[in-house]
Amino acid sequence: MRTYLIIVVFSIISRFSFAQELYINSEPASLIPKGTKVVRLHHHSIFLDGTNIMGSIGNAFVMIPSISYGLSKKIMLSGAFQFSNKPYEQDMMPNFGFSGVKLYSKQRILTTDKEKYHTRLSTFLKYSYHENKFMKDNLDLELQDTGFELGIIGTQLINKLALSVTSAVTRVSNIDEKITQGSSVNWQTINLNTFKNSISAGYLLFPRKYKSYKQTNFNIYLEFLTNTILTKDFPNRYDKFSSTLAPGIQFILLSRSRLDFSYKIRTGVMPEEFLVKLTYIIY
Amino acid sequence: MKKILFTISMFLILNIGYSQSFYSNLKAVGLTCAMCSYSTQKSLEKLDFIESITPDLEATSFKLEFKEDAFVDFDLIQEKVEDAGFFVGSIEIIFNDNIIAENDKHNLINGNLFHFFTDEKIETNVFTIVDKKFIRKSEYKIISEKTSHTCYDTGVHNSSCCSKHDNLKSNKVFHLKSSL
Repeated sequence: MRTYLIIVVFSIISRFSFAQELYINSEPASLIPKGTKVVRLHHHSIFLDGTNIMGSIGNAFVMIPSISYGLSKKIMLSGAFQFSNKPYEQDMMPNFGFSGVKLYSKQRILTTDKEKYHTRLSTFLKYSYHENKFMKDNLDLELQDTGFELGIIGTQLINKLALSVTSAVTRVSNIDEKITQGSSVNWQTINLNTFKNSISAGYLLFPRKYKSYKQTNFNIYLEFLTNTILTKDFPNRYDKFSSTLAPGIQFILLSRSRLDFSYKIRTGVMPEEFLVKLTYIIY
Repeated sequence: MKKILFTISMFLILNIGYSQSFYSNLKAVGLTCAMCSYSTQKSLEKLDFIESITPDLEATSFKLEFKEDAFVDFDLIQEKVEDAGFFVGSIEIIFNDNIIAENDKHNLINGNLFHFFTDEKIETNVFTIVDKKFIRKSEYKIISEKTSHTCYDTGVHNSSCCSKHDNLKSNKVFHLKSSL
């Protein structure tokens, strides 16, 4: 019902504006141009207050520099490092340091092109390795968990409406589970399989008349992301279903740099998050 | 005599300043973001036979002007648009002068060979590329049934298919239909 409502809202807004698919919290089905490099710097602030995540002593800050390369018109590769603090009591002090790597590849598998009607389909494979888990009761391969993700992205354009849908299966492999045998308590690391879905839409608000590459573009976005745990037995501190609503704004400067801001609102007691993303294209 | 000499010299001077004999309007499709046009332009800039690119961002089209001495390879233009992740909707070729186009006949213009299709003999300067890769399959089928020239299928000029031409910059031949 909620998803349906969001689709309706998106389609109403779309009648008044131009489609934009430079999504902030998900990847579009389109690829970066062949031979170009895209450099990015993300900064995430996760608002921890000791009550939403037990034991936290301050906000988590995550910095992610990344580079993407258009290997061909059908294949794109990305790599990222992650640096973060350790906002927990047992870490004694919030040292800022290396905390993970990510590798990503995206392959375009289908493009149909008719006037005012385009479909794009891509598949992607992601590997994440992370050392710090900020949101202990949440699963998030982007920021804090380790594992693989395999997915498909579809972007559909009908007139000015561009909707992007992503579906993926993940295998998260850094989950600690408490095993109690009699009086002894042991921790073991287990795998969890999840099913992720997201729907994204974006619209160009300004300029109303697009005449020059020098004009700053202002775009607004709305994204809705869900995660469902598929594994039958999983630690009960996790919710089987969780979702995130992420509104965002974006400035495009000189047609080759992007400045994105997004606010993630997660279900339940999960902390909220503020994201700033800087992008520059090297031709 | 003086008048004739003056006319001839004026004609020569005017011809020297005549830097190109045609330009193109490229309509790109599938562009859904503010950075897309710039990416397409950057990709097209890699082609050395293009002299200048003037974008119309609202229409996602580009006016392409070409270097006088170069062969204009429209296949490469299409390849560059696709490298950027988009598609060629259509390519119009606008000649500086009107051309009397006869159906299924060639014209050598500035060393570039063009093959014309028209329903009737017409005089105009605006044409659209109708080669296999630039139009829908159904449209291609209709046109190909009306011509016996194999160059429409192969895109290459050869003696068995077409009459001999001198001063060709390339064996490639592009097929044009009047935009009227």
